[in-house]
Amino acid sequence: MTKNAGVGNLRLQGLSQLYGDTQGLREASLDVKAGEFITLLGPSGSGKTTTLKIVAGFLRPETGSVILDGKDITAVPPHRRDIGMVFQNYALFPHLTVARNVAFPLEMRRLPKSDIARKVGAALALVQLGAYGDRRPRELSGGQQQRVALARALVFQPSVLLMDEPLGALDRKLRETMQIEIINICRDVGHTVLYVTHDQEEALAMSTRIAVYHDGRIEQVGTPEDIYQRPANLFVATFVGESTTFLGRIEQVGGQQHLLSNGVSLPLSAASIGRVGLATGAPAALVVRPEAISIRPVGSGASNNGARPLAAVRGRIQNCVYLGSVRKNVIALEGGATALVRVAPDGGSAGTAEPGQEVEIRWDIEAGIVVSPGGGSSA
Amino acid sequence: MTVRGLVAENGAAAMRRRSSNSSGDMVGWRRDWLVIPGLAVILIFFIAPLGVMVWRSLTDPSPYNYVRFADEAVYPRVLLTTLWMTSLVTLNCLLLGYPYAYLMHRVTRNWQWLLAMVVLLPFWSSLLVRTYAWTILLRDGGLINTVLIGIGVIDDPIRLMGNATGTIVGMTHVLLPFMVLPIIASMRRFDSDLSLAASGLGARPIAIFWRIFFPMSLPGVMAGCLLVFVLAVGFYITPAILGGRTAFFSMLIVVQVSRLLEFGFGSALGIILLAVILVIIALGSKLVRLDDLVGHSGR
Repeated sequence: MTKNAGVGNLRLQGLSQLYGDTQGLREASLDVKAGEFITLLGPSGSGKTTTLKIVAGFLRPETGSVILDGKDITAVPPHRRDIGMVFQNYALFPHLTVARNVAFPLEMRRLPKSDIARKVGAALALVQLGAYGDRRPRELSGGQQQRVALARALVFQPSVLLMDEPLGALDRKLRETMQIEIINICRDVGHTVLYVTHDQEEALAMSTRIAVYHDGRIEQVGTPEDIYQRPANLFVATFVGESTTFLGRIEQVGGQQHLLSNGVSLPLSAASIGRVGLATGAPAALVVRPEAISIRPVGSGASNNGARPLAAVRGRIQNCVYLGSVRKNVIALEGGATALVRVAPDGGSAGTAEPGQEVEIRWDIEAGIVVSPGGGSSA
Repeated sequence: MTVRGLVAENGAAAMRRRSSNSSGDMVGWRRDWLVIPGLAVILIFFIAPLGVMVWRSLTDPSPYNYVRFADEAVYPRVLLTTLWMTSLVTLNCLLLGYPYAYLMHRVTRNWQWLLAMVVLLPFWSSLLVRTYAWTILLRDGGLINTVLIGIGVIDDPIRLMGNATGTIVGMTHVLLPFMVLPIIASMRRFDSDLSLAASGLGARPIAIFWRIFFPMSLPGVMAGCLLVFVLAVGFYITPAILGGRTAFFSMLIVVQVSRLLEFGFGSALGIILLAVILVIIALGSKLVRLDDLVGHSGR
């Protein structure tokens, strides 16, 4: 049931929804190419679900338009849109069997009975529920219901598939299995997918591109690598992935630009400043990912061996959390910032760090990400 | 009390019952003694008189009472008439009650209040008063006939009471809330995401109603029908006042007991009516989960 390539180009133009009891949306625009898997990522209440409802046709935007394959569908009622949707609570019809649930969109399209039976069989086989056609939804587990909802949304070969936090109700293990399964199915079928989640790991794992929402705006659209390594602003940098953040001002110290943050001077790489185009004297934020940071006890001799320039800050270990594969250290730094550092549990001297110990954290200045401090802040 | 309040309270009561049954600790055991006064009331005022009735129906003068019911054609015939009229009343309640409940389900909160008031108001006024009020409308010189004659639709008054019409109109009015409440309870349980899902899957509004909404409200419909039917079979005051000589089964019992003083035969008729109701409940409970009668949600 592969779709023709080129069907499912979706363009959202300046969607706004400021009144009413839904989450607001301000001038949201997004271009989705056929076959893309786009995740709408953001904290709850940031407008992701509102976007999805507008695309599905459940909500009429106050301004802006939805264009599907060149046609403006903003005013088309949902039942004539041909867009599949998977709801967070699955929204399976409890009084119908699994097979009748999946057959529903085909029956609405008045397909011949034999076609319906064949397509329903194929769709259930696709989600590995071929033997469950006669069951009622409530007799299935959460993961199975999820797959029925997926089969039902795919069976009529919609040009776009919408998913609203489809894995939100599942436990962690099942969620990870389902992530892979959904990616595989969507890749096989070749649909354009808009996928809403507030789970940044899910977004990074599943998407071809991510749109990061904040307060009704789309802050950045980009590949997972873009979002993680080249965030557009401080909000994106801190919402996606863990990070240590320094707020301050860019200053020229000697021949190099530094971030002056509460009396701590941190060298910045020319490339990282060049990317955001901030001038000397401008307020800025420096974001460092935990995997870029190394940690060592204070006064343990050997300093920079000169290969690459490092930035270093002193601090005191506040907390040590053992997580199996890594040990997570929370370090209170000079200047008031808090660092998050992951080390291997048997990572030599650093691995045996204890709360209260004085340490120095260091990172390659090329790994420091400079962003403008705008775009809100969040943990 | 609003519909929601009523339903919620019943639901909560059911939950409490369940949790108290499951607690096997000392506190729970001691708390169970509290049921005794209530149980005693039920035994003394409900179960014991029923026992007396069964006893009298078999001994006053003899079990022949039951043979007599079958022998004299009038009794089975009145029973059948009663069941037939009860069916009509149930159907009327359904035809009026379902659209009413649906309206209540769709309007805004303030209108919901108003509509709930209108349907519950009869609950709070005396059955006798309501029934006599109908005579003002229905009798030959009543409001309806006067108006119809006045605007020239009819020349002579049509008989609206003192026959089956009067009984059915009056009983439908009295029993309507018992249809509306279970239906609105089951509609309330409807998850509105299901209609969004259906419309996203290509269903037009009319298809959403018939394919999704209506089938899912059927438990409430069945519960309402069962409730109305069972209550209607034993009705006395309304058919007695509005039905005239159209015999309702309960009227036969009253005649035996209070006019002919045939307590034994009257008891036998009562037991037969009770048996019919129990059979209906037994059949009905195969279709209805009794939870739906009190609006307890259990999907």
